[in-house]
Amino acid sequence: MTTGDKNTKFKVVSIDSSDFQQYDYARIVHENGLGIIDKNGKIVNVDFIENGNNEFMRYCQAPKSEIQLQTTKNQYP
Amino acid sequence: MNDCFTGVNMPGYKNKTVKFIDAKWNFLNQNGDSLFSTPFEFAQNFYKKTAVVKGKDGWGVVNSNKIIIPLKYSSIERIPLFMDTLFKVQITQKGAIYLDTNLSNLSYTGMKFDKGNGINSVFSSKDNYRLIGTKGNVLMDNITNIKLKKFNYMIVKENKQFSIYDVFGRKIGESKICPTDFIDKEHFTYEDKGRKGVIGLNSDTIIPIDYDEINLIGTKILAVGKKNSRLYSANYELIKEIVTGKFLVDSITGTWAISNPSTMVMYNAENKKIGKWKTTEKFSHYYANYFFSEKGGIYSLKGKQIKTIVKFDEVIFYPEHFFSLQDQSKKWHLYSLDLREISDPQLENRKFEYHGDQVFSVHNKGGFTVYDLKNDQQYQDFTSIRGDFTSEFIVAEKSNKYFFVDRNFTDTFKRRYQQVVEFKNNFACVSDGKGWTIIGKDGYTKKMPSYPEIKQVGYQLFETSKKPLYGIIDSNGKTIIDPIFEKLTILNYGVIQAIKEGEIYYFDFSGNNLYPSKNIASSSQSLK
Repeated sequence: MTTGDKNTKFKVVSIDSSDFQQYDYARIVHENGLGIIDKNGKIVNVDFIENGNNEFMRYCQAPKSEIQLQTTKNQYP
Repeated sequence: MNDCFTGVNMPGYKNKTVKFIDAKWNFLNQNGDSLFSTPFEFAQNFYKKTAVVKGKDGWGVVNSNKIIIPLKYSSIERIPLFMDTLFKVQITQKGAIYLDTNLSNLSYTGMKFDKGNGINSVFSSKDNYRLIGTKGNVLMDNITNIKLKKFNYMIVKENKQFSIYDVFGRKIGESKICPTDFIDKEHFTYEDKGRKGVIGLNSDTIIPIDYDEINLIGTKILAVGKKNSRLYSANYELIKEIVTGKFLVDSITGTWAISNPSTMVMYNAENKKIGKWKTTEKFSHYYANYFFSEKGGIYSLKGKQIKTIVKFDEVIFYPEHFFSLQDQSKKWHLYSLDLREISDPQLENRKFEYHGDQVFSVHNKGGFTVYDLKNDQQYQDFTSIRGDFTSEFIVAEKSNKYFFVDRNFTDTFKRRYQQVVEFKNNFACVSDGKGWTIIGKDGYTKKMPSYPEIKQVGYQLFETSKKPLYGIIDSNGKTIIDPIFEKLTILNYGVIQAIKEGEIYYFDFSGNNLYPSKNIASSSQSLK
């Protein structure tokens, strides 16, 4: 944690370690899925979060998801 | 509202996408706080200062502080080269519009085409029916309902009676009983509990309501009932009534016969008995002086069996003395009235289509054949043909493209189309794959093919669905081009081409009208 405390609440699978250099949060993959961890160690679970670096990062929370055939063009490949 | 991409790319899977169901989308600012207090149904990622998002009423655009283009459009697309500043917005319109032969809008406000008889058209709204004539003139209005019948007659229920109007909207009769169909211009059939009778326009009962079928065959009227059958002249004079056997009437010659279990009794067109012969055959049809037996035998007027053709389930007689029949193995055969089989008996032909002027076509297991019997020609290089030469041209298909051919099977206009609807009232509807338009008999399009599917619903009256409309809004929310255009294309040299009602306009990226510089107003006409 940015406080120097050790996280004992959950098992982190991976973390974008550069996030805290730009943002006050970091994108993580933990044992139950995707999440956002803030500088105080508080975790918000999400179902999708944008990758790469963007000033405003989009995310979503959804009860379910499915794989579909792509019928419309994505303007942001 | 689903024209925009609403999924998430799957790395490694080009054609697949992940869709999040009932999702709540938002953005994190650099502090890790959500940008918007109310999440969106979908959000595309921020590109520079803006993001395209979807709310419950449609698509819009946000920046980091607020909504800059309201969430009300059916789709929003960023314009290449101006990805961060210009947005093409789409508005979906519901319902249909009606067009004349110049594809100009006719405003039948709030009314929808209901039915037509090829001349007059009935439009309806929730509680009103309106009858429109060929020139767009209102023949009747504020009527509760209208039924269209043979001879372009129309039935309207008025004051608990049924009024009968002619094609010009003139009242020509009334009846307490609702006419089912017209036998001729003066008489109609009516029905009660499955039984039929005939009444005159003056309300006189002509044939009592006691018959299962009443039909005009050539110059005779045949009424067939369970207890008896009657044959009438065209003037409704009773010629003969029988309780056993059945009438066979030749629609070509006007002669007729009574077929009994053991005899056939013949009458000429003037109803004089002209002969009788013994037979044990059962006869189903009498046409052009031939009797057709159920076993496939064809008999002369004197009862002599001329030929045995295939035993058939169904026979169809065409104008100009041809007939086709379906044999018991379901194959169809085409004959001329000299009893020569025209089609190849070995082919597994489906039902023949008649295109007028002695032209027939048929699909068979090996392909498709066109018979031009007038010119003694056969064509096998078409994939299909459709239409009738009464409208001068028919539609032919080759290599999944459609074109119009004249009576010599010449490709008249030398143009291929993706889809076509045959000529009717001198106009045909065509599509080049990108849009629909109409053409006249000179083959020229009336306007650019930019419409959704066009149908000719009434006499030179066309229906098409309202098109989506496009406009351009900038990233400050300022409208650059009003969303009133059916098509907007960004041309390579920095000009926007816009099409409205078939007219082309050009704009620059500030929304200045470059050409033609005129007021872009609707060209809709009102009903006269």
